[in-house]
Amino acid sequence: MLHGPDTRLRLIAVLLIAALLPILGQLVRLQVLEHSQYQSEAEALVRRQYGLPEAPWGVIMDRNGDLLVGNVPVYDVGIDITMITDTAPIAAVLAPLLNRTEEELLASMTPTESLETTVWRPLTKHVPIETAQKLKDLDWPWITLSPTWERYYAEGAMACHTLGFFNAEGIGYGVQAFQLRFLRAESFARYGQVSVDTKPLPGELAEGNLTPYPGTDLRLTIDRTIQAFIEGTLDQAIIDYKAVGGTILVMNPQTGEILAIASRPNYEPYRYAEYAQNGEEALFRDPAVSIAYEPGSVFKVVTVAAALDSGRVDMNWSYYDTGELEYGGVSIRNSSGAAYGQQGLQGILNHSLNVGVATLSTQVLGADLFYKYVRAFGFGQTTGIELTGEIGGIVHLPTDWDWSDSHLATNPFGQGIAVTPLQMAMAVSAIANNGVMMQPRIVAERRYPDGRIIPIPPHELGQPISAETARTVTEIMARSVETFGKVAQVPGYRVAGKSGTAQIPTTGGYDPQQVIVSYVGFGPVPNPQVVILVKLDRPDVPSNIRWGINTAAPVFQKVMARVLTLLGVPPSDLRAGQ
Amino acid sequence: MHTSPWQNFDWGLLLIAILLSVVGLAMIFSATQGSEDLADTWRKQSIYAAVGVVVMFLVAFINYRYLESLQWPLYFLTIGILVFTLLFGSSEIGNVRRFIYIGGISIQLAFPALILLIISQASLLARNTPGPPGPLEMVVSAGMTGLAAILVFKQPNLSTATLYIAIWGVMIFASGIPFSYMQGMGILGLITAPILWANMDPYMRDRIFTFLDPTNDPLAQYNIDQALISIGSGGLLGKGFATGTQSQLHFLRVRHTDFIFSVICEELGFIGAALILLLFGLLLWRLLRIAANAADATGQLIVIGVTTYIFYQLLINLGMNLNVIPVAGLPMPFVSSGGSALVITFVGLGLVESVAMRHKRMEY
Repeated sequence: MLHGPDTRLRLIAVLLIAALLPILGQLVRLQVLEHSQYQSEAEALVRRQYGLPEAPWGVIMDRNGDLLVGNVPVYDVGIDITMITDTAPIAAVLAPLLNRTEEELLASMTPTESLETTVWRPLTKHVPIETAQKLKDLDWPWITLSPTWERYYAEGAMACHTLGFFNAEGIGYGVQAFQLRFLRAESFARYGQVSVDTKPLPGELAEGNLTPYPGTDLRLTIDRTIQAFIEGTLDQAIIDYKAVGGTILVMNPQTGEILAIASRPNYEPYRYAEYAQNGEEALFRDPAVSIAYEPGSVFKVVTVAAALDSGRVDMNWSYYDTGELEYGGVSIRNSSGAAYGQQGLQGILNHSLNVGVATLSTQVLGADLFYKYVRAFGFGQTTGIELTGEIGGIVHLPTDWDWSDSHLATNPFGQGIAVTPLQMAMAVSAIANNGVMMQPRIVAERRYPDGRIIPIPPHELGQPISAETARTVTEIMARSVETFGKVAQVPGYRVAGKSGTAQIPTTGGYDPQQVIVSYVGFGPVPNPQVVILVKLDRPDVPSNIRWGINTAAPVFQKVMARVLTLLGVPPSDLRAGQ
Repeated sequence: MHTSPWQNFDWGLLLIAILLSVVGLAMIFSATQGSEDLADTWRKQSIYAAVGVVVMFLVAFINYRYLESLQWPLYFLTIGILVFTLLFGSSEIGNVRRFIYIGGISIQLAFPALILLIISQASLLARNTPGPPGPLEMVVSAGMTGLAAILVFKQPNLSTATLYIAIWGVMIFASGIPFSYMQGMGILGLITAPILWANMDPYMRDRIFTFLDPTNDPLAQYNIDQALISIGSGGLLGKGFATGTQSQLHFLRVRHTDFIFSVICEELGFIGAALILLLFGLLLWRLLRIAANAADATGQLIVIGVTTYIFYQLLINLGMNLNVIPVAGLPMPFVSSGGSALVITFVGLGLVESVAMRHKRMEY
């Protein structure tokens, strides 16, 4: 037996058929005995959660339509863990591509108790196109790549505080966080019939009627050219005067439009997560609207304007300056320590006399009137600008428990009162705009995805002083520049302004060394087109030149000269000749 | 009375082969219809099927006994083809020398080479008829097949190399060599295997490990999982032709080639799959009947070789689809997409018909 060829043929036949038996058995097991289990597995694969590609978020342009914040396409990477059996070799391949450790990835792939996370797990967000292509080349159907967008900051750190950012939770800073509801694009995710790459089937989409809706674009009032100039000027000023920070603000007093606004220290909005990780969130706060300081002597223009507008003084009024005034238990002295004799309103601003403005507040106006004007100029309340985190500053009112008579003596020259740079610029802009204070604005118009363009019209915030008063104060400020503040003069134009040198309050008094120097002014006079505020924090220069007039004023002059040129404002003498 | 050899042509065998090819065309159509770059595959495959049938008649016309005398030239042609592939072959996968591209057609020359090897092996093993082959024939044939298999393994292509060895084993068995030889060979194999293993390059060992444990390759594991879901969800009656979710929504990969049986199971169900297996059963019956009736040992061994050629591939392919054996890239004969493979299978059938047409007069 088993020797003849025929027998062996039969044996081959038997062996081949025997080999087919386990195959047939497995077929019965899978298709008949365990059919229902595989049936539900197949159904679960077909019905999964899917997301539609996100539409781009609204972009942000400057006033001339140049891009400030755009979008770049990136991908969110996820994994469908129902499609895989063993995670370890997959994590080993993905780790270098996604720049995460294998342990992190394995943890991400492990399903938690929650039902929604048992099918699909996110691995990492916002990988660039190059990485996404490498992932595609793996040809792994369990990897999901969801196209989405990442914010792109065309000018890097420029105008960072104004532009701001928002994180995945929609929390952030600047105009972006403030206008999030317009910028945001709607995204869709739902359960339904999908193919292997988690793309919804055509029928699925037809019944859902889902259209991603892109975000609304914003055109800002910011002028990129002016912005770039003040950013560079501010950096240079901080180097020249060894300051630790500062702010430059340029606005149009007639419309309330902010043309440029820059502060230091600053940050790169693109890398916000890194700053947050390093505990440097303080950088995100906008020094122009979210940090208050004691303004010092620039506040004197508010006191003088209030006194004039009250009608209790005029240009003929005068007082005798002894160099000292006792009021409410404090002794007010001039910053030079000298006595100036007989002085009027012009002299008060020319010499920046603390005794003079304290005389106006305590003896001419009184607490009720003085604080009525301080409030009318917008101090102690937010301006309502479209920026996140604006604060109102600190104004102690006679009705407050912590107010004392000494406040009435020190507030008129900007001590014991805290303001934001924007508030200070706003108050001066009222003087520059015939007494009318305009709503400060960052957003010029909204451009909706359907093509509608909605401009944001200028609107009045109020009129703290009369046009007559405004003209008089403007004249005093302009003359002051022409006589004692020539450093701020711009050839060919008449400008009005006031410097300030404020001590920095510390616990139980004032820092004996450190100051904040500033300058606020506008031009040209008449018909001012711009208000400019310059503020430098803690300049480290010799004490004889540690004054606003020596530091902030030349910076103001430089910015004013350039901005008037950029805006195409003809020089005053030319206009006179027309 | 002079009778034409075409009288003894096995039309049943041809009919079964054509039926299987038609099933293949239908399933390729179903598996590729949703894919832009593959949707034309079934048309190309149908042309290859027609070419295959014509080639089969041409080969059947050649008397296999003429080929017997060409035993050594055919063997050197085999080795030449395999060396040529090693030198000039390429593949979409890097550093794999497996395919030769001729005018836009890719051919795995290891398969036609194997058909030639079957002829020269059959001639060698039948040399001592009516007696069985002796030790010399056995050693020489082992060396011949061993050399060819190593050349294929070097491509590298482990699964096809095992096909070479399997065919040789079955042909040796069918040639009627004494059992003592086979025992001796088994012992020799048991001794040499560890020595071979110890002297193997590490990458070759890795390749064998991957072959034995595909979970190291996530994509291979994915394909197995999806194949099981496809087959299991098909159930008794299937989801219907061209309506399987696993294949139509592309969860199942390489579905028109290596995993076409999973598509059959998903769409045609257990009944459909069993009917196709029955067709293969009929094919086996026809082939073994021709082998039994062959006029001489050479003819019989050629038929056994071709039978093993077809059924080894089938078993490996089905075993892989059903996850009873590791993943191996062997197609399902007649059914899987792949034009040159189909034509070469028909060449094998042509050899079988050549034997059938010149069979011994047993029916009288």
